[in-house]
Amino acid sequence: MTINNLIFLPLKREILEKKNYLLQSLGLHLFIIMLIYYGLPNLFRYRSDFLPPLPVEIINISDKTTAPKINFKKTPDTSKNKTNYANQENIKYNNQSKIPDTTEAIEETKEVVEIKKKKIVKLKELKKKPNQLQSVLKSIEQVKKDFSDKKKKDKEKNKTDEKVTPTKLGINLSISEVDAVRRHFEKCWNIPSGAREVGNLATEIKVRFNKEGNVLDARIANVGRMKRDRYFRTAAESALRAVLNPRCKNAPLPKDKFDKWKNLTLNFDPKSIIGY
Amino acid sequence: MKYIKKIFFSFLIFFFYIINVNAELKIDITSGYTEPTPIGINDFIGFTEEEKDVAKQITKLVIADLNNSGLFKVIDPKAYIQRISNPNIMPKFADWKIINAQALIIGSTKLETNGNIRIEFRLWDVFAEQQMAGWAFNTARSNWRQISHRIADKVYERLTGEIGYFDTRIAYIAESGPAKKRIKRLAIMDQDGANHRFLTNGTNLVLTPRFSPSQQELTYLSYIGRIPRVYLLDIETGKQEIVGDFPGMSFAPRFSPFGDQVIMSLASEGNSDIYSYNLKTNIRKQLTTYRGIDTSPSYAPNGKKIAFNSDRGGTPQIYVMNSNGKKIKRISFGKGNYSTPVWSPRGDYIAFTKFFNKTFYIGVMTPEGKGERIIAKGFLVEGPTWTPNGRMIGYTKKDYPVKKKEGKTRIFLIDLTGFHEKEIITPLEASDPAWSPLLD
Amino acid sequence: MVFIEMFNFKSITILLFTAILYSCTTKGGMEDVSTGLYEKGGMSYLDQDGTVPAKIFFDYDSYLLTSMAESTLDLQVTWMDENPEKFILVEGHCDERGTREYNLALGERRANSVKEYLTSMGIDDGRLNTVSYGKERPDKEGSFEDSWTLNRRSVTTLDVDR
Repeated sequence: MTINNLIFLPLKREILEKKNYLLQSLGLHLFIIMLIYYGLPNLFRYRSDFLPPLPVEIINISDKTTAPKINFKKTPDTSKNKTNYANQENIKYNNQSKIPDTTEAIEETKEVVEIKKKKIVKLKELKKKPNQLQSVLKSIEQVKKDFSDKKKKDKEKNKTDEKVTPTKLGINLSISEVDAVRRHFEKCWNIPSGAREVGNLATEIKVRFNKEGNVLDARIANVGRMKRDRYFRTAAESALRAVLNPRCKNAPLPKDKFDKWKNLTLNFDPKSIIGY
Repeated sequence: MKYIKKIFFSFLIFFFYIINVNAELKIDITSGYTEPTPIGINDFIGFTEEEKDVAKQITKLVIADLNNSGLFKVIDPKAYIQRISNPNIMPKFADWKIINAQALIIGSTKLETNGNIRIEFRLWDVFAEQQMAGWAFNTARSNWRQISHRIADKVYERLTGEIGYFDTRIAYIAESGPAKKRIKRLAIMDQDGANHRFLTNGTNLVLTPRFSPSQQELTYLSYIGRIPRVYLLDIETGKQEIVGDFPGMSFAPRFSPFGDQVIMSLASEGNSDIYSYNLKTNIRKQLTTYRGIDTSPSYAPNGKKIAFNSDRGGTPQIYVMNSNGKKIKRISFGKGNYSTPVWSPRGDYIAFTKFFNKTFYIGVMTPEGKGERIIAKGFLVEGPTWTPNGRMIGYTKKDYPVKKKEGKTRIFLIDLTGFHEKEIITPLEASDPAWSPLLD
Repeated sequence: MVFIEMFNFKSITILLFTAILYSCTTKGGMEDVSTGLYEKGGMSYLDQDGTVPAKIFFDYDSYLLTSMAESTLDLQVTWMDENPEKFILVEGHCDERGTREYNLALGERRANSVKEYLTSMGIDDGRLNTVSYGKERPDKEGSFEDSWTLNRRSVTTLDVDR
């Protein structure tokens, strides 16, 4: 009885007192465990599933909105396709241009005024001299100039737009660029037909490219499986041959994004052909 | 609490960062083309005149085998830029890349003093610029055909992952004469058509031959004395003997995978059932009892099950039972009539003949009856036989009649995927092909 | 000498000629040695006068006797009763629209249908043998429906081996 009192009762009391802390501690522990469980595999495996392409063309009405701007860049193809459309849009907007222009002007002036105000406040702190007024005016000119310069730069930036699936950050090749690469290697891949369906025969080939899109180095990712699985070896070798085929030189990859694709993994999956 | 919240949110941000940071871009490639792989075969090298002769014969045979498999296309030697005369050097890969040779075979033959030949050859991966494999064979000179087939086997196996089938034979029924008085002879040949021999002279009707697992014997149906019965034939000696002493008609014979039994149909009084007959003990065992048609039995390669054709359901369909006759289960459920089930040597499929809507088909399905696929069709196609690697199917094909004349009957070979159909050339018309097993 | 030779030659040819003419104009049909049947007008008969047809026909994939088949078989029964010393071999045949082994079994069923009918009509079954030829011995060449109809048959023949 006394043992009960000595051990359990104080324990109960402790728990009741420190209830909040216990809960918080439990919660945090759980969170970290979940983090490790879900997060760790993601460090090692790259998920390549693209979301279903929803090419959203963003028409440049950025001057009206104050939403934070994501930098869009137009690819040469899309710019060709869309130039007429864009031109028309611009024409439309130009007709209505007066309104945005005035708002722009208003905004500009507002901002300028604010800056001016700040500056004036600052200037007020200084002693007022007729010269200083001039300098104030100059500074306003300067501010105006800076502002319009900045605007020009923004406009230039906005002129180049790019289609991007907004949720996947970190991949900057467009869907059409990926498609071009896919089609390029498809025409060199002689798929071994009729192999016995022994599960997944998808092969990852790790490729290193040079700036011209030529293969510097290519290797099969899962070498261990090559030794055990004859059918996998056949599929893997056919994939490697597709990459090394001299007919597939000069892969159509955008030179300005060289960093993104100089190391590429091509996953050759014959399941649409084999497998019955 | 605020402290906790801060920690929580920073973890959240870290978490999302982890799943979005990607080391490398991955692109999926899910289609390509299926064509015979172009390869180069440099003439096998010999140094003396005699060696050169043998080398030439061997090269020719290897080229024919690989081309006929439908999976390779040997590039015409006239297009070769580099001619290799030293078998031990590295080939100039650029010369072979230009002509789009994806693999290259370089071999040499040497005649030894004891009359044997020694053949060495290497298989090169042209695009990867490295040797894939190398082999050496040593055998009597008279075996040069067999060795050529073995060379083709090795190349085939290394490049496709499948077992080669080039060192095998085909037994079949050679047909000639008018349809009302057809002369049928039992014949045998190498799978490439060489070494063709007639085994019977056509006096008596012969049908549906099958090989024993040792390749030494054939079992078949013959109408000797106007009584249709199952016989055994020793291929080397030509000796024939009746299997069992059955009253009535016995037909549709096949060997068990271990060669100790022959299963067949026995028919009497309007009923045919499947029996197994032990060649050593002469004991026969009845496996089906249904009063109707039970025929065309086929063992699974492990000997544990038998597929057969039965009309117990009203129309000809395919059933599978244990090799003791128990647990009979129907496996064909599509539209039409199903017959001649033949179990693949790989055990993964059963090939069959289907008749539906006035057309015949050759198809495959799993032993559970799933995944039915048609791989050939025609006016009359029937009687599939598997190559021993379970990869291709031979069958009888009769053409549509042309201008009131009956079409020709010939044997064809097709890949399991339904591609690469090609005729097997025979001296006369041909039917009922049976492919020999591999010798282990 | 010459006269005698010529006379012999002439008379022989004349005799031959008349014999041929006679056989062609005779009411009876040509006998087929392997089956013992008489061919006349494209049909086969058990009797020389051509009144007992030897063949009956079946529907596709069937071994059941049609009523026309039964009436033909009735005629055969009568003939067999009148010729009790004859041994009979009943052949079963199929058209080519089936696989080889299945057709061997079906041919056997057809022959057996006929044998059963004959025995049920009183013919001693010791006199009857059956054999199936599957689709191996068509009666009419040609890959057409009219040929196939004629090939799905059972032929009652004389058993030349007994």
